[in-house]
Amino acid sequence: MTEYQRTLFLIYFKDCSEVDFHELNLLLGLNGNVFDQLIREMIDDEYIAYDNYKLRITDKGIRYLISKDQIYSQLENDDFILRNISPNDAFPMDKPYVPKNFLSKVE
Amino acid sequence: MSESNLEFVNKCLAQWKGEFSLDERLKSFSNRFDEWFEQIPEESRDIVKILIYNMSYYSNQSTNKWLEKLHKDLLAFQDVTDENTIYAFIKSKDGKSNSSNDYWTNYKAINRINSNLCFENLDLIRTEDWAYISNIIFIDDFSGTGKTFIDEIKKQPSRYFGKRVFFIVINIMQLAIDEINKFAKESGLEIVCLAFETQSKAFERNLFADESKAKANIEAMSKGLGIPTHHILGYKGTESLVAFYNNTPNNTLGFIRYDTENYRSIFPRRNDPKPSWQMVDASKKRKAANYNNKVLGNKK
Repeated sequence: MTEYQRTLFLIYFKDCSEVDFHELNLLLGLNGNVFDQLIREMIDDEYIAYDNYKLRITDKGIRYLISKDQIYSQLENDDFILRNISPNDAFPMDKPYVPKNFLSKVE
Repeated sequence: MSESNLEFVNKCLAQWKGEFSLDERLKSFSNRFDEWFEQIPEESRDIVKILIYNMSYYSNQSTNKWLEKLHKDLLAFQDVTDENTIYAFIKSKDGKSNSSNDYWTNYKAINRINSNLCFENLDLIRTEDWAYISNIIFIDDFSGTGKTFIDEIKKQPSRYFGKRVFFIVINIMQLAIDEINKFAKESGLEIVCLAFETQSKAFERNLFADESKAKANIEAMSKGLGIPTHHILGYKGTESLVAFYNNTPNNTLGFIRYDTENYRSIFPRRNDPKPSWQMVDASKKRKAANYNNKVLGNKK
C-alpha cells in the first residue's frame, strides 16, 4: 500500500461519520482482495479499530495524518469549483497558446 | 410533523436503532417522513404504517454485531476449524462490486478471518486441495428466494459432495430456506443456513385481518404511484420487508424503495450513475427495438 493510499484512506475515515466500503473502494480504485487486505492491515496497524461495532479512525490514525500534514485535508473542498468546459467557448486545439507578455519574457 | 406521525416515527426509530445511535439513513427517514407520507393515498396509510413498522432495518453497527454473533454460531458447530474450512463470497453476475461486498469485508475484518481461507473465486482452489476442505462458508446480507446461492452451488455441485456448506446471512426469507432445503435434498448435499432473522412474506404474516385485501390495496396504490408491476411485491413476488444501512434489497416491497418520476420512496435503493460505456447496450437495444417495431409495423 502506498503512502498516498494510506493517507486518503484515513482522510476518508476522518471525514465520514458513516464509512461505506463500496464508496471508499471506488475512491481508492482497488480490486476487492487488495481492498480487503488494506482494511486488515489498517486494523492490524491500529490506524482504525472497531468501537461498539463501528469501524473508526484511532488516535494513532489521527497522529499519522498530523505527521503528514494532512489533518486538515478534506475529501471535498468547496473552495475549488469544477467548471465544465464548453466546446463552443474553449480555446481551439489547433492554435498555439501564447501566455500574456510572453515576448517580453523572451526578450 | 403531526403528533401521530411523530409518535409513529419515534416507535420505528426506537425499534430499528436498538442499542446504537441513529445512522444517516434513519435520520433521513425521520426528516423525510412527513413529505414521503403525503404521497401515500389516504386509504392506504394505515396499511403502509403497519408494513413500515414491521420492516427489519440493519444499521452498520447492528450488522457487524450480528456478523460477529453468526460467526460464533458457526464455530459452535463441531469440526469447523481453520484447517478444514474456507470462506467464500457470491459475486454479482456482472462481476461488479456492490453493497453485498461490504458484508464480506466486515465479516472477515470483525471476525479476524485468516485471509488464506477467503476466496472470491473457488475455481482458484487446486483440485487436490479440495480433499482438505470439509466446510465451505458463504456470506451474504440477505436472501429472498435463495436463487443466487443455489445458482452458485449449481456451477459445480460435485465439489460440495461429502462436505458441509454453510450459508450465513443476516436476514433470510422462509421461502429461500425452503428452496435451499429442497435443492439440498434433491442434490444430496448438506447445506446449513445460519441467519440472524428469518421472515415470511409481508402478506402472510398475519399483520392484517384481511391479508388479501391489504395486499390488493398496496398493489393498487403502488400502481398509482407509477411503480412497475414486477417491482410492486419485490423481486419474484418475495414481499420482503427489509432494508440495510447501505441499500435496500430489490425483494423489498416496491413502494418502500422504488423511485419514479413522481414518487420518492423512503428507503431508496442505491443506484450509482452508470458510465456511458455501460449504457451503450441499453441504447442499442432501444434503437433495435424501435427499428423492429417500425419494420414489423409496416409489414402488417
